[in-house]
Amino acid sequence: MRHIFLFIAVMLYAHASVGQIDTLQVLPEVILSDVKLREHSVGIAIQKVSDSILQQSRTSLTDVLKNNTSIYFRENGPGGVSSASFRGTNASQTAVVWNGININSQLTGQTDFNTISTNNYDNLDVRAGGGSIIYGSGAIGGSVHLNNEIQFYKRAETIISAGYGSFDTQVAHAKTRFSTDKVYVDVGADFQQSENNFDYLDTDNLFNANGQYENLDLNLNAGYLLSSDGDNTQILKLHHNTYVGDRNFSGTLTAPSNDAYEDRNTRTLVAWENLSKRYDGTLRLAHIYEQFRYFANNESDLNDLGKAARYLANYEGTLKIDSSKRLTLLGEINTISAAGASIDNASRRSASAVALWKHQVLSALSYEIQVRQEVVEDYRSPFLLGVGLDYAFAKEYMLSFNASRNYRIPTFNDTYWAGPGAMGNPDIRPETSKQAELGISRSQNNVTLGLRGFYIDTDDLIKWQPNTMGIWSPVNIVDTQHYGAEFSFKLDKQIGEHRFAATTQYAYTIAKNMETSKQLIYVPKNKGTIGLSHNYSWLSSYIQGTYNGSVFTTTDNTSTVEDSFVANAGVSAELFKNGNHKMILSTQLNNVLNTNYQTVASRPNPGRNFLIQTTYTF
Amino acid sequence: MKKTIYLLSVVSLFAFSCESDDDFTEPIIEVEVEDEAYENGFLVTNQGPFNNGFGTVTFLDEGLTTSENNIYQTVNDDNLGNIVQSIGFTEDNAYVVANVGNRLTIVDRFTFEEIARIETGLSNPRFFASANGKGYLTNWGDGADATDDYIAVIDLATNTITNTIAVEEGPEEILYNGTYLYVTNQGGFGVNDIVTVIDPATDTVVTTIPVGDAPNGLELDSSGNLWVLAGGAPSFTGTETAGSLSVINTTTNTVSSSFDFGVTDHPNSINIEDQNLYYYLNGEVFVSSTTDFEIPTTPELTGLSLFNMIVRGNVLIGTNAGDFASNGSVEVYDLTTGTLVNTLTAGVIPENIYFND
Repeated sequence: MRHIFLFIAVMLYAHASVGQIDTLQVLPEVILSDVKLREHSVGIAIQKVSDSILQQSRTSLTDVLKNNTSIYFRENGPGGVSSASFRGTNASQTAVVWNGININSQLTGQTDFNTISTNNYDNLDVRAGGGSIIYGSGAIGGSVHLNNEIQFYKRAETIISAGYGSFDTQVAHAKTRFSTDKVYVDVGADFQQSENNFDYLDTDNLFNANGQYENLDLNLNAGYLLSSDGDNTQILKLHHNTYVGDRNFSGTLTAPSNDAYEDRNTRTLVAWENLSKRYDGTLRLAHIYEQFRYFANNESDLNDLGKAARYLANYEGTLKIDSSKRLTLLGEINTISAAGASIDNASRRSASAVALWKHQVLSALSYEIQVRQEVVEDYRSPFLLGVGLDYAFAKEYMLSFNASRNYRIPTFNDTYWAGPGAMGNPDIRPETSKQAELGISRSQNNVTLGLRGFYIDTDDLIKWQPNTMGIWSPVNIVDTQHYGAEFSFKLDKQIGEHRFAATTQYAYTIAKNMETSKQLIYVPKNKGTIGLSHNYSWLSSYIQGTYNGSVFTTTDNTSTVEDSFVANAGVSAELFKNGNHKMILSTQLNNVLNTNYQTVASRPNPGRNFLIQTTYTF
Repeated sequence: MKKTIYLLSVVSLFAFSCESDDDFTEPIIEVEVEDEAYENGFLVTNQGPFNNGFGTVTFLDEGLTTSENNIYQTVNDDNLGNIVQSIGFTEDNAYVVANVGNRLTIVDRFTFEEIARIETGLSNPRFFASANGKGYLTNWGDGADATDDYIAVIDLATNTITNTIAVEEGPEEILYNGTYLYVTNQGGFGVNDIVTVIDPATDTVVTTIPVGDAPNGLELDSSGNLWVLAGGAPSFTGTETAGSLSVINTTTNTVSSSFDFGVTDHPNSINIEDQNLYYYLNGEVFVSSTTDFEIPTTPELTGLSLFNMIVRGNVLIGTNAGDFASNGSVEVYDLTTGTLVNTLTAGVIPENIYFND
């Protein structure tokens, strides 16, 4: 069966019509599902993770981001729960934004980055720094943006790929796009399955037991051009995503495991956009559903269920006063209900208002002012203010500054949990941050350099600890301070028919508990990535390395997980190309150096492993 | 190498059992001193980091002036597994229970050299007691499943599980009074309210005795009565109930008297020292006489933050787990003056304390 799978892992690739350029001259707003990301990030650095990287890193969002950005991941091994630490902040202080909508769990406040499939998205952007005014709760360290593009031009394209790798890993992906000058539809399916039973290096016969996983991600995007009448364009858009994940949580070096976990998540967004020269209006309706089941014993039907459903409606109006001034007003209402084994039907309604003002004073100078106020039934939400400045003070140089106040709201678990040994706190308040950053970048020819310093002061962090009766309960107790620097470098170089690219990211992060002055646990002071790639006609290759500095695992900084350097490499070859038909064979070799490393204590990662894929496009 | 260690431990055991004998030659006495490093002192279990990592055992000298952490690793160059819950003893051995690690590590109680380990047949193990050459280890199974709870019966000569005794939900602490084994069925993730009585001669459940909700500890008094402290159902269960004390007549295995606390009072850490019964409640230690018991209203010590405690003579030794994510401490209080006399470092989440002699 396995071998058959390998053999039929044939990939074909057909490149569709090249005549895109003319038809793309429509407003870019037509394409982007999240215009604010581009228009309202003054003073903020956005890193666009390129398509080629997405295609190389066939696996999880964790892999893509840990190898290409300065975000540090606490990953319980491949397929396990994975949370982000951005600028030293905690797992619920990074927002994941799907087509403009924050999708962090209402139950945990986090996104498990191993439950997001990267293959079904057209763009992946990483926005460092405060973004709560636009993106809501959790955008303190930064936000990760998953976007689908809807474009109206004549096109029909299908990509099918399949692959096989170490530890009985099987992957398959299919996506078909069809569009005319009025209609757009794409449907994508992404499947991953792995026994994930890798050997623990340098041990006697220990392996990653109970780590198997499989997941299916389905994506649908559709658009209809209702009218395009001189100055006025009206579009109806639909985005949908369904994620079905079944996995076991693997054991560790010190504990076996026989548990299992199921994720069932759906997200649906309908947007009606009314675009014109002076005014853009967008009405959005969305339904976000999350559900998990945890099985303490995967041979038993007994499980703990948790689920949350969220309905969202917002209207966003942008007045383009003149070519240099933009005023955006947004009003949003949310109704969220949650239930489960440890949450007795709880609900929360909120309304929020956002105003964004952007002014390009000179061609080289723009500034921005943002405000947000939210009104929620069960806690008091802070007033948020942000300012940004971009100043191109010399040719090729840009100075940027941003300061903002951000927040992370209490989750349903924080407020309403009532389960064994633990109890939510109805009086819990949001976490807040005051933060600022200053960056300088230089873009010249094919070289981009960036240097950025940041400072974050967070207050009232929510921490679960035992109360006087020994019951674990959340309290707003910790204040932290984070500061550091981020360096980025990118080079593109063409020599004859050979194209070379080099990138590097490095971050130095101090994140300390204000009471103890100790570095926060699982925050490396140093993290860096480096990547080199080469393209020549039908052949492309890359090598890539990630360094994670050592991290403390106890708050008194007495225990650590050692630092590690992990290298990966890959080669892709176009096997044939015939008109619209194209086939590519690619091979990834991960952890080339066979480094025995951990990112979470007692959880070894796989040694050298491979994945072979074929992709057929037509 | 293994042989040498075995030989040394045999020698040292022999030396221990005959320690008043003057006939030993010099070298053997030296071996005894060196190897039985953990005799006459206290052992403290440290759960270890909550999610990943391993628990440890700390040794405190009898005078409670110094502590030595990680004694198992020091001796065996290995770890005890995830979440070290408790230790049970026989005359010679200590049985260290790793709860999430599903492991029982058997060590010489005075040298801490590993003798064996049991890694299969355990499911959420909690506490160990021995009787009649057998070990009895309480197991919750899945904390949410009321039907998979059992006592693993271990042949202490072969260190293998030979039998299991099915019991009701959530068997926690276990005590042998010379006739029966008494198990507090605290209730796993839920709340139970019984003490299970097991006859070690037949390895069967003799009876179950109703006590208060969530029994969390049991102690014998000098007359042989068994005092069971129940914490009461915590508020998160939705139906909070009061803590209570039940006195069990171990001849008839029935409750002879009981005492109720206030509805929101959830005491724990029962200790009987001489004729004084101590317990811990909301950061305070209370004491009352077992011969004339009534629920005390004035605390003996206040302002504490202890995870667990024991009383020995006039000294109270408590574990302070701090923020539960860093090395905790052991606090030593003089009960006559009510003062903190010493603070010793321990491992991550220190919990249970045992005198090792």
